[in-house]
Amino acid sequence: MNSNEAMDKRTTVEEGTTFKGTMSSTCPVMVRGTIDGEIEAPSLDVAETGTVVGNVRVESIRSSGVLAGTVDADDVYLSGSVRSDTVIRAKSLEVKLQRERGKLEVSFGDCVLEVGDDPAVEASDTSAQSKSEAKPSVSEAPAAMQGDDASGDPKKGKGKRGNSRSTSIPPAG
Amino acid sequence: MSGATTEADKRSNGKGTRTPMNRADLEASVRRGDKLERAQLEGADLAGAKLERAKLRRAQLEGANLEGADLSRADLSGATLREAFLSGAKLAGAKLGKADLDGANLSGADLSGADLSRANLEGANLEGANLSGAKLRYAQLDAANLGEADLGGANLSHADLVEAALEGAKARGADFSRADLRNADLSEADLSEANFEEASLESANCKGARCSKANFHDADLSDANFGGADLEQADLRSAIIDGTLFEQAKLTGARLHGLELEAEQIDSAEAEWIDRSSGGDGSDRRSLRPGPLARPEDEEGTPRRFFGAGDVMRNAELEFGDGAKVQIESRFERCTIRLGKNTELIVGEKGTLEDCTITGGRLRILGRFLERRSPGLIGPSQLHVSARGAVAATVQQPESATHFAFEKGCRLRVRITQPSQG
Repeated sequence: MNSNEAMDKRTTVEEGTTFKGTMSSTCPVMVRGTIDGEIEAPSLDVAETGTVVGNVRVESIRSSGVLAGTVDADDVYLSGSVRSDTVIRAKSLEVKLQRERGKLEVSFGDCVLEVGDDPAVEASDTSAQSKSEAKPSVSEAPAAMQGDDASGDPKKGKGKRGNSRSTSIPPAG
Repeated sequence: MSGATTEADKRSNGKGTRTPMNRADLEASVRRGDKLERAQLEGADLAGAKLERAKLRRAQLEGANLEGADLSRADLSGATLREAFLSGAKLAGAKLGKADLDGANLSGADLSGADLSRANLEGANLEGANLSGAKLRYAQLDAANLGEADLGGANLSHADLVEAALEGAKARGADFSRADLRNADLSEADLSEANFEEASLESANCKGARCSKANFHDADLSDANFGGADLEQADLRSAIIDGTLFEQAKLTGARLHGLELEAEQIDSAEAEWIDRSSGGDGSDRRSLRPGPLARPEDEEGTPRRFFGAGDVMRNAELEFGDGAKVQIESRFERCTIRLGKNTELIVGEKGTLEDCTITGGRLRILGRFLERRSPGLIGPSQLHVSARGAVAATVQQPESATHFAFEKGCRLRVRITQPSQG
């Protein structure tokens, strides 16, 4: 199947369907039901009625349903909810401002978000350049900065895009 | 060329048998002014044919090749032209109301003054077409390619232009009122004096567009991007601008009554003055100061605190009362900040907070917040990290949960905990 054909087709887990196990697809995956296990696909779309629990490795994920587990992706767009013990690693994350006042666009349980380059690395770099005073090194950084050690998640483990993004970042602005 | 069956055939034999008609016969028939209503010309090769003023109402021309054909002032109302090849065709003044042009190729065609009201042009290619003065009311143009097309003075009110490509289009004075332009690409388009009243431009790309004197009154501009656009003297009164970006836009003389512009929305925007009068008559001129806290109009009585770039604060304990607005463009180290319930704290693009603890408040991070002591952010009711913002921290949510917003491009090493985990 060439890439165009793959993109034209879509694997759908419909509402009322529960899938347990490992799913590997060359097509975009749409989840309206429940997936419990591992997913590897170009993209994953979790509808409001959908739930994905487990390890997800995709290029892009758009979720307005429920996510739990470990997500490795380039681009993540979230609404809906993220359950406890979830780790999201991504190059970019987008969560919109809530549309309705008082309503949460996305609710987070206990979870870890690792998005883009590590700000702590930049802080160390810029501090070293601009000041002689001691600055916190990466090793001194809080648990949240320390990759998968931070999660406290028994399912932790680096994905293929894992923590390879911990490089220096350009100054803001 | 395939044969054609016309209304005349049907009248003559009552059964609608097909009369073979080649290109010469068809052109002769058109010259005579014959009615060719419902003519069946599917897949016909009529490239370059002279069909001026042809009477082809409800004709079947699906997949026909009409490249460069002259159909000026032709009547093609209700005709089926799905997937037809009309590149470079002359259709000036043609009647195409309710015609089905789904997927048709009209690139470079002359449709000036044509009537395309309620026509189906879904996914059609109109790149570089001349649609000046055309009537496109209620036309279906979703996902159509109108790049570089001339839409000057065209009427597109109520048209469906969802995800349409209009980059570089020349639409000066065009009427887009109540049109649906969600996710449309209008970048670099000339929209001067165009009318977008009550139109939906949600998530539209209007970067670099020329919108001077355009009317966006009551339009939905949510999440649209007007970065670098020229909006001088544009009317944006009562528009919905949730998440709309005006970075580096020119806003001199823009009418902004009824709008609440957030700081990052107008980052680096330029305006000698803006018009806040309800009537949009220039009677209430205000300044629009660039910068994260720049607002056209400060709320009266709102206490503000500002910490400028270059300052360094260390080991300080600060407390800001309910309802205050605080902006930090400086460097804070090992500081403890307590915020009232409705206090807004903005860490500007030049601001850095390192090893600090913030309790409560609504937080907007355009700069950096880097913690060592956990949790660094305790009980914020809102945490908004802008595209240039960076946060490395543990966020302990309050009982009512934190409203999070993360813009694409932000950098995070964030651990979120629920209140019980204190």
